[in-house]
Amino acid sequence: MSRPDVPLRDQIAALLPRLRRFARTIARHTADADDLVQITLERGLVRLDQWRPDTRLESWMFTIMKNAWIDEVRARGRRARVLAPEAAGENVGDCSAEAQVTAMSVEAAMARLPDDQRIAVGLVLVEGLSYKEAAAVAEIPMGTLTSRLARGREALMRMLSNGGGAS
Amino acid sequence: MKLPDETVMAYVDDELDAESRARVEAAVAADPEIRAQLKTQIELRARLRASFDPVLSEPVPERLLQTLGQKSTVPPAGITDLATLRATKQERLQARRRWSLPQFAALAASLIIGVLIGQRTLNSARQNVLESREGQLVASALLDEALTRQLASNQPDAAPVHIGLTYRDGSGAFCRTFTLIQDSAAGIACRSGDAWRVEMLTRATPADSGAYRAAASELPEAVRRAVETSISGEPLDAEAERAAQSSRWR
Repeated sequence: MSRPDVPLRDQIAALLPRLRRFARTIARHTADADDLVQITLERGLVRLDQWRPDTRLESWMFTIMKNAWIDEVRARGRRARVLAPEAAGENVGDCSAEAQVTAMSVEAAMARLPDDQRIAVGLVLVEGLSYKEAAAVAEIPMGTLTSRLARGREALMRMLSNGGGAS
Repeated sequence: MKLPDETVMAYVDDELDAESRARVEAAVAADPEIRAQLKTQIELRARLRASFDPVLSEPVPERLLQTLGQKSTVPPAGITDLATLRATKQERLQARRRWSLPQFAALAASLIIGVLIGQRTLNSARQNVLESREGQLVASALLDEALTRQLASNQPDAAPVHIGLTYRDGSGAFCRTFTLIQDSAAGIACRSGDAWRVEMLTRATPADSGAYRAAASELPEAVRRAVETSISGEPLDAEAERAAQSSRWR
């Protein structure tokens, strides 16, 4: 919430723990997450005058972060297929022997979701945003958000219940 | 019978109006299959939170603060002092009340515990500090001891259990937050008869020996939120805490 008596930079600083958490949910690799926060802060700072008090500051920052991530993914795509397979993140159906023996960690399962589903899951299930807020941050219609959220959840549950060798 | 998955998800996400919510709750109460369906959704949410919440209580890297031109380190999101809790409480109360439904608090708590045990983060704790009594999970051994005797205002540095806040819940029972240092787990226990009923338990930031005390003084977001939704009045100060202990938490 906006507090006019607190400078905007201080309000953003107070949001850093949440920005870092959202970055972890969407960046796949912990090592990338703080870089994503850094880029988000830099982008946010140069357009502080565009923030309007009728938008929650965290929602505004989340949108900047989401866009920064998508730009990053596109840039990586252009750099061709030199990255590790999981960094390219298309292994939703991965059924390697190892994945079947041990239940996948939540982080690993999240990393295998497509970007759009991971963003929806991160905003609603981790950040606790309402569907309406999350749709606004993701810049998509609410129906799109809820269907991505549902598909993300189903995929996560499949991967997380994969432990013990079942299917 | 099953409910549409979207309905159960919307329930878990607190997106239903009062009428639909009541219908889901009635269905859950009546049908074990729907209960299992809801359990799956609650569990997924709890696992996600348990995985990603610990970052909230990590120190923010200096370079991020520098980008914002901040000189001093911003305190992490955990409870750092009572004033912070009081200040955020009002704000939180006005926010949407996720997970404040008392009838599901116990369900959610047992699920979170199940998740932790499943992930083997509580191996020693399961043997040493928790036991099931009449279908309820209660504190035993050193956790029971710490909840009963330890005062937040006066606890040994090397104590295996760190006591955080003490407060009364809506029913007037005393509740205390605790951190199991070795297990990197934190939770809430409330007095019930002569036992401490464990209301919730979740993963805390792993405490390496260097960060021992710092880690113990920060509660995970999930615990903090649970305190905020269940607290009645203000947390006890040191004097009230001592008085409550003297009267055996009655």
